[in-house]
Amino acid sequence: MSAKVMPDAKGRQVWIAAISKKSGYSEELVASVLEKHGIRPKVTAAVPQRLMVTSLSFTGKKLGATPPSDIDFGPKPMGPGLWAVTSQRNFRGKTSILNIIRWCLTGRQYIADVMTSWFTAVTLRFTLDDREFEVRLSNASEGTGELLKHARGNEFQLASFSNHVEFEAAMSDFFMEELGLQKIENHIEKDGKGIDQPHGWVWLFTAMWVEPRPSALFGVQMPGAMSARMMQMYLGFPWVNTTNEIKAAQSRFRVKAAQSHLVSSGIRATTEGRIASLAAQRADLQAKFADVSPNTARLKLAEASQRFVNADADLRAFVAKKQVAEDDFESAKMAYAEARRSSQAAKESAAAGYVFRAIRPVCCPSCDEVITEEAAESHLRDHTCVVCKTPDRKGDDEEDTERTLLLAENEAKEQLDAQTTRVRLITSQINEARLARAKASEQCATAEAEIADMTTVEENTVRIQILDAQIAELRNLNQAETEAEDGDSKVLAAAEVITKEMYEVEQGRVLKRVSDLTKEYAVTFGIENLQSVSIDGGVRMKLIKNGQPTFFSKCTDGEKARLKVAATLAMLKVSEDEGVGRHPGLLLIDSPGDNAMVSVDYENLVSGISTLSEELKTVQIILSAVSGPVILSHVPKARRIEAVGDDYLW
Amino acid sequence: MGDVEKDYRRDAIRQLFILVGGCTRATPPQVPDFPYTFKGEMRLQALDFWVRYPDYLADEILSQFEQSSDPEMLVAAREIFAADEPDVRRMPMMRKYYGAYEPLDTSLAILKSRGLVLPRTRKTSRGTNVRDFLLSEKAFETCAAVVENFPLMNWYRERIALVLRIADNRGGKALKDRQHEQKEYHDAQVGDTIPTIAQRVKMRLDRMGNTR
Repeated sequence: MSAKVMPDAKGRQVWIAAISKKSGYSEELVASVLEKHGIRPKVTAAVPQRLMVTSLSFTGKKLGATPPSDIDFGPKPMGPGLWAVTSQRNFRGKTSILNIIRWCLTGRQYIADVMTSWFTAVTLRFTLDDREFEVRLSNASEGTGELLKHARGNEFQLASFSNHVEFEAAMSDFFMEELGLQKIENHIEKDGKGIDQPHGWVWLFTAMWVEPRPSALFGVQMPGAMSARMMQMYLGFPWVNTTNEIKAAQSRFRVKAAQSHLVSSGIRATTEGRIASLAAQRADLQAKFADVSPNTARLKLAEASQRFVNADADLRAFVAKKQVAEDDFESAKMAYAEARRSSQAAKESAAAGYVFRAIRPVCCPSCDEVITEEAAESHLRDHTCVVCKTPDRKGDDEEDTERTLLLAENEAKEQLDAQTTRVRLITSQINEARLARAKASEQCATAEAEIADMTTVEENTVRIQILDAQIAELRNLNQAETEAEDGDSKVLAAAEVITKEMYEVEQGRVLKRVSDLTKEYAVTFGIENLQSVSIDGGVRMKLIKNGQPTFFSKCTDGEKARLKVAATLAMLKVSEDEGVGRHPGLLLIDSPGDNAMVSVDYENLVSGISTLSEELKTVQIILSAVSGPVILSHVPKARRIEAVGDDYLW
Repeated sequence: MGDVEKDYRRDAIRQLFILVGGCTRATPPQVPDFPYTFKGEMRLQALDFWVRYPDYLADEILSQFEQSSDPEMLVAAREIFAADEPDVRRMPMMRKYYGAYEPLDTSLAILKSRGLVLPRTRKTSRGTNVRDFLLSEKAFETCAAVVENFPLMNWYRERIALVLRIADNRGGKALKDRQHEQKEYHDAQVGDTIPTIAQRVKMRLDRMGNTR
C-alpha cells in the first residue's frame, strides 16, 4: 500500500476493500463483522498539545507526627523546560510532590496510604497549550473537588467530583478527550471468564513517568503489545486507534471463541450426539421398512383389483353363458326326453297295435252287437274294419318309424350330451372364475391390509424425511457456527494485517527517526559505545553497544532510565518536528540518581536533559532528585522546588 | 285315425294293466264271462295319474318312506329318477274340474270290443252313480301275452303293481284327495296339463338320500 491512507470516509472504503480481498469475504460481510466488533476507524487529529504544570499548592496536616504539623505547600509556579524538586536528604517529600502532581492530573492517588488523609486542599494548575485549567481538590482526602477552566478572566467548571472514583473518571474523560487519546482495551481471560481490561488515562500517563528502575522503555511493563500500542497512539499514527480496536476485538473474540468453543464443544458434542441418535432412529426405521414400499403395495392392490375385476367379469360372463347353456341344456334335455318319449311311445304304440290287431273284435263297443265269425271273415277279406267298416290302412313302416325315432333320439342324445358338456365346461369355468375372483379378493384384502400398514410405512417415510431434515439442520447449525467463527476470525486477522499495512511504512520511517534520535540522546546521557539504537513497532529496543547487539531489557537500571528518557524525548522531538503526536510533553522523572547510576552518568543525564529542554522548549520535565552539584549546576534556582538542609519540602 | 288310434291303443293297454292289476274277483260275477271287477273310474283315473306322472308317484313313495322307513321305498324312488322316468315316462294329463282326467271312452271301447273289459254303472249307497269295470279272463291272458310278446310292456305291469302298493287299497276319492294335496296338482288351471314336480322331488330324494 504505497499511498498514505487516512481513516476518513474514502480511506475506510479502501481499507474495507483491502480486508475483503485479503479475507476472501465480501465487503458487506467484512463491514458487518467490523461493525459487530465495534471497529470504526475514524480520523482523529494527532496534533501535538503540550501539557504543562503551572502551579501546585496543597494544605493539610501531617498526622502521626509529634506534634502534627500543618501542611501548607505552594503555590509553586512552574513553566516549560527542566524543573527540579530537590531536597538535600531523602524522604523529604520530593517523590510525593511528583505523585501529587500525578494524582491531580490522573485523579488516582499515588501517595503513600498513610498520607492520604493528610491533605485537605490541593490545587494544581496546568495548561494545555495556551488553555488554562485547574484541579481544585476541596477535600483532597475524600476526592472532592472540581476541574476548572480559566478563560477570559473567569473560571468555568468542567467537572465536579465527590469521591476519588469520580475524580479519576473526570480527569480521564478530560485528558482522553483533549489529547485525542483512546482507551486501549486488552481482553483477557480470568477465572474462565473474559474480561475487558480497558487501559485509559491512568495507564497512558505512565508514558510521562520515568521511575528509577524502569521496567519498560515506554510506559510500564505490560502484557502483549500494549506498550507498542501506547507508543503508536502517542506517535499519532493513523489507524492506530483502529488497530487498537482490532486487537481488542481479536482478544475478546479469542477469549469468547475459546469460551464459546468450550460451550460450543459441549453443545457441539451434544448436537453430534443428537445427530447420532437421530441417525440411529433413521437407520432403524429404514431397516424396518426396507422391503416394504407403499408403491409396491399399491401396485399389488391395483393388480389384484384388476384381477378381481377380470375374474368378476369372466364369472358374470360365464354365469350368463351358463344360463343360456342351461336353457339350451334344458331344451336339449326336454328334446331328448321328448325323443325318448316319442320313441317309447312309438314302440308301445306299435306293440299296442299288434296286440289289438291280433285280438278280433267280438262286439260293437257302442251297441254291444256281437260280431259273428262270418262277418269278421268278410271284413277280413275286404280289408275293412269289422266294427266301422273303414278300409284298413296300409301298415306304417314301423321299422322306418322306429329308425327315424331312434335317429331323432340319438341326435337328441348327442345334443343333450353336447349341452351337458357345455354346461359342465361353463360350470368349470365358473368355478375357476369364482376361485380366481376369490383369490383376487383375498389378494385385494391382503394388499389393502398392507396399504393400511403402508399408512404406517408412509408415516415412517415422512418420519424419515423429518429425521433427515432435523439431522441436516443440526449439521448445518454446527457447520454454520464453525463457519461464523472462522469468518469473524479471518476478517479480524485480515483487518489487523491490512490496518497495520496502512501505517507501518510511516511507522517505520518515524521509528527510524526516533531510534536515531534516541541514540543521539542516549549518548548525550552518557551511554557510551552505543553504535545504534533500533526501536521497532513492538517497542523493542535493540542496541549495538561495543559492536555487540543487546536489548533494553539487558541494560542496567541506570541505562534503562537514560534510554527511557532519551526515547521519550526523541519521540517528543520527532512529534514536534512532524507535527503529529499525542504525547502531552510532560515528563516526570523520579529520582533518576537512585538507580545506582554512577555520578558521571547521572550528571550526563541531567546535563543532557537540561540541554535538550532548551531545544525542546515546549516540553516540561520535572525531576525529583537529591540536591547536589549536578542539579545545582544544571537547574537554576528559579527552576528548583527545594528544601535545604533537613527541611521537608512540605 | 292312425295316430289317434295308436295312442288310444297304448292307453288301452295301460288301462288294461291298471284294471287287471287293481281288480278283484266277484263272486258271483255280475256278468257271465266277466268275473273280475275294478271299482270306480275315479280310482282308475287316480291310479293312471301316478302311472303317467312318475315324479308324483316318487313323492308319494318318499312320504310313505318317511312314515315307514321302508328302505325299499327309497330304492323305488331312486330307481324312478335313475331311469329318468319323470321325463321319459311322463304322459301329461289334463286338469279337469276334479283333478287329472283322461277321457276313457275310446280306449275302453277298444277293450270292450275285444271282450276284455265291460264298463258298468253302479249306484252307490249314497245314491250316486259310479262306473265299475268288469274284466274277463281274456283280459288277464291278454296282459300276459302282451308282456310275453312285448317285454317292454312289462314296465306297465311292474309300475302298476308299485302304484297299487302305494295306493294301498284306497278308494278313488281318497287317492284324488291325496293327489290334490300336491300344490302343483291342485293349483293347475282347468284345461292345463298337470305340471311336473320332478325337480322338487329330486331334491327331496337327494336330501333323504344324504341323511339315510
